[in-house]
Amino acid sequence: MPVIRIERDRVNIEALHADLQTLLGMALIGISQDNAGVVVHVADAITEDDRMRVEERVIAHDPDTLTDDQRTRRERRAALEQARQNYTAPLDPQDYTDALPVIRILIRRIAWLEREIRDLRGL
Amino acid sequence: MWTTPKTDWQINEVVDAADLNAIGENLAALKSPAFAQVVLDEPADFTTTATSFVDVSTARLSLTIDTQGGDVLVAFVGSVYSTSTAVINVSFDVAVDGVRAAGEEGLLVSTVNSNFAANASFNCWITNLSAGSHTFKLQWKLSAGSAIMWAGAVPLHPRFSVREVS
Repeated sequence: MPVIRIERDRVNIEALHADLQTLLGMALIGISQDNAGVVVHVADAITEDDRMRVEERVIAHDPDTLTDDQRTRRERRAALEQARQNYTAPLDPQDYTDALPVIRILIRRIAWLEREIRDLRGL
Repeated sequence: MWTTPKTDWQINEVVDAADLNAIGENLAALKSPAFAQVVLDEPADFTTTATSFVDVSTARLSLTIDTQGGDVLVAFVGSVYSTSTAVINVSFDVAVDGVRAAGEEGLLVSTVNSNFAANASFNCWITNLSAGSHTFKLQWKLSAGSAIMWAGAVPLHPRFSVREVS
């Protein structure tokens, strides 16, 4: 399997993969990185022009540019961290004794689930 | 240097220095068979997005030994994880002189995501190799996404070794 080796340090491998996939389509097998640099694994059918374009894109690659999926994951993670800060104290069913009976049942269930999750997270 | 032992001794046949030296050299060869190992202590971990088997690191995870012919034990100890929240499979194989030992889907699969790292360690017998130089490369592939092999930055220190055993 042909490879294209390019010396450069930090890359955002998911973003670089997505970028090169728009260029090469199914001819891109994947990207690897070790201390020697970036290795682009390609199918046999790649032209010399494509090879040059791959090298140009790898060299021009900005590792700080996120993919849509990475951005979504980052936002989801930030939202979760924010929610954790907003709800540091466990839910206490005693705070809802004047709620409707069905609500009190749900609160007890949610409090139980919260305890289970805290236990799983070692909190 | 291993010499095939003489097994056709005759009654009253004289044992000469060459015979005894061959025995001594064989004992030395048995004590120190061909061996190579790399212990990773890299400044950055290894990553891939490859969905077909590729070398994990041609520069670091490629070992060459000169064998007397026979079997070689290949061992890898390491861990992998994914940066993706989706669960992916990371498959491993060993390429011996460019030919994968297991073929098809490889030797083993580690299932990971960003919350759970997985053990990716294995031993593998490579049998009936010819005498001479042989190169062993660790290879991997993914079902999707991207994966990371801890290679020293964490710091975990994977080991890849090959040893002639017969």
